[in-house]
Amino acid sequence: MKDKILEVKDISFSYQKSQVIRNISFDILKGDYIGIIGPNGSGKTTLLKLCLGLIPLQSGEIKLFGEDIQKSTQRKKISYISQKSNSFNISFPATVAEVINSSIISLGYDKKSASKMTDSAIEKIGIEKLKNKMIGDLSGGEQQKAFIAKAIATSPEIIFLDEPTVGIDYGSEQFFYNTMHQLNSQGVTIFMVSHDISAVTSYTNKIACVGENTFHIHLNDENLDMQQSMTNIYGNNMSFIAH
Amino acid sequence: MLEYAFMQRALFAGILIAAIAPFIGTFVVVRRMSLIGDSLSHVALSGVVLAAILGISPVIGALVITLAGAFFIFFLKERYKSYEEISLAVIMSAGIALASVLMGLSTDIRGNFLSYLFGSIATITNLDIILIIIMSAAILVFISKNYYKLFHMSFDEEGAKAMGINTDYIGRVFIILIALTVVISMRIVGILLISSMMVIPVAAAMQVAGSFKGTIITAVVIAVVSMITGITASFYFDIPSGGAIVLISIIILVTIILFKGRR
Repeated sequence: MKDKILEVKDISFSYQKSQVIRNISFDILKGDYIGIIGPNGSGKTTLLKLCLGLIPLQSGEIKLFGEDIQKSTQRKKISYISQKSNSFNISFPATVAEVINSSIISLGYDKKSASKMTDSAIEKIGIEKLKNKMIGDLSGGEQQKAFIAKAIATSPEIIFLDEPTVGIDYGSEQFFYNTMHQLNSQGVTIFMVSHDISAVTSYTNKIACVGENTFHIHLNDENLDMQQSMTNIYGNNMSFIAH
Repeated sequence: MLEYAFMQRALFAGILIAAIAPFIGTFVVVRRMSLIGDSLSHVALSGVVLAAILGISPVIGALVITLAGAFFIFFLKERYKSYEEISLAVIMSAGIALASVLMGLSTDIRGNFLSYLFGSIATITNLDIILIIIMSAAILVFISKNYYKLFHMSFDEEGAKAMGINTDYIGRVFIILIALTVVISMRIVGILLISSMMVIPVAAAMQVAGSFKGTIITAVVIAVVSMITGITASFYFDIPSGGAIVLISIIILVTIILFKGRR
């Protein structure tokens, strides 16, 4: 039996009078690569933010590595890459190395270890030439590589992704998904919210379909069941090809 | 001019402010919080007037009222989460309204009013210097201890929170530090010009620096040069120190932009 990384038990969440999440329960096991899909307003990002403890739970329970998410002492084991325009301050006046190095030290690592971890992450992603460039001077694809390096620098056990490839070109997108696939094959658990059904069906091993009052998780080879779930949430006769 | 005790006090306080304001100002700028400095400086004005009525040090009056203003911002931000600027507009209006009402009750403040608005080198007392040193030390200790956390959350607040940094606590203490910076800068730079010392040297430094630390160091150097030149000009030409200091920093900013072009 694989270790449980994240346990979600019977959670519900409402914005004022509108309930966006209703009685959802699921577990994420070590090594899972789960893609969360669903139409706009279905609660995908809310679900991700609840799992990250960024917004407080209204009912139910979420455990990260067996601990209540709000009180978790193991948050250093996670990383998060958000839709960059929503979260990252992309015109921040700092170099790529400074961003990665300072983020590592902020989590409690000493300066010497942080410097080694920064160099190692930069080398793994192949952005040595960008190391001393200001992050605001980079292209969208280069910035995304820097964000990946920041995310992997602390060797996280789970990476949360929120629409990670919005606004980047095809080549950078492929680089991103290949890197995540490689990390997943090394045992890193990945939790991705995306509109990109093609990417989700191509790269993940579990797919959660989130819709109004519905939530179903499928293994990425249950074609017929998943097709039905997607038809339920998107309202069309959805079909897809699993790769 | 250094033979005068008031000039020694003015230069000592000025150099301390020139080191602190751009240091904290770099985070203020990257966190897009420049308006908070303006809002709190207007609150500080009512503290100065209240101190005149009570017969206590204006720095202590401004400190108490500005900290109360910072806590009022926390209170309002909780209630207007999607419209944070509302809390700043309310606090700025509250500061000016309270100051104008209190001024109606005080006759002492009116004569010195311009010196509080635009700064003065002649009004700094030894008590002010002691208070400025204590508050500067508090700011430096907190920022030095939490520099990397503040950096991380300034770059990626949600990511920092997800990875276990207590962004709510640090964010609140940071606003209190802005309030302290406003109070320590008030005497020399003047209430209406305080936020410019947190913003203009940083804006100039961002044009030329090649890193975050470089931005902070360059901003401090620009602020120190502006401060010493401005205080000297204030002494020899008998002009308000705040205006002179800020105009010199703006001349430096424009010169850098003209020579370097915008980043």
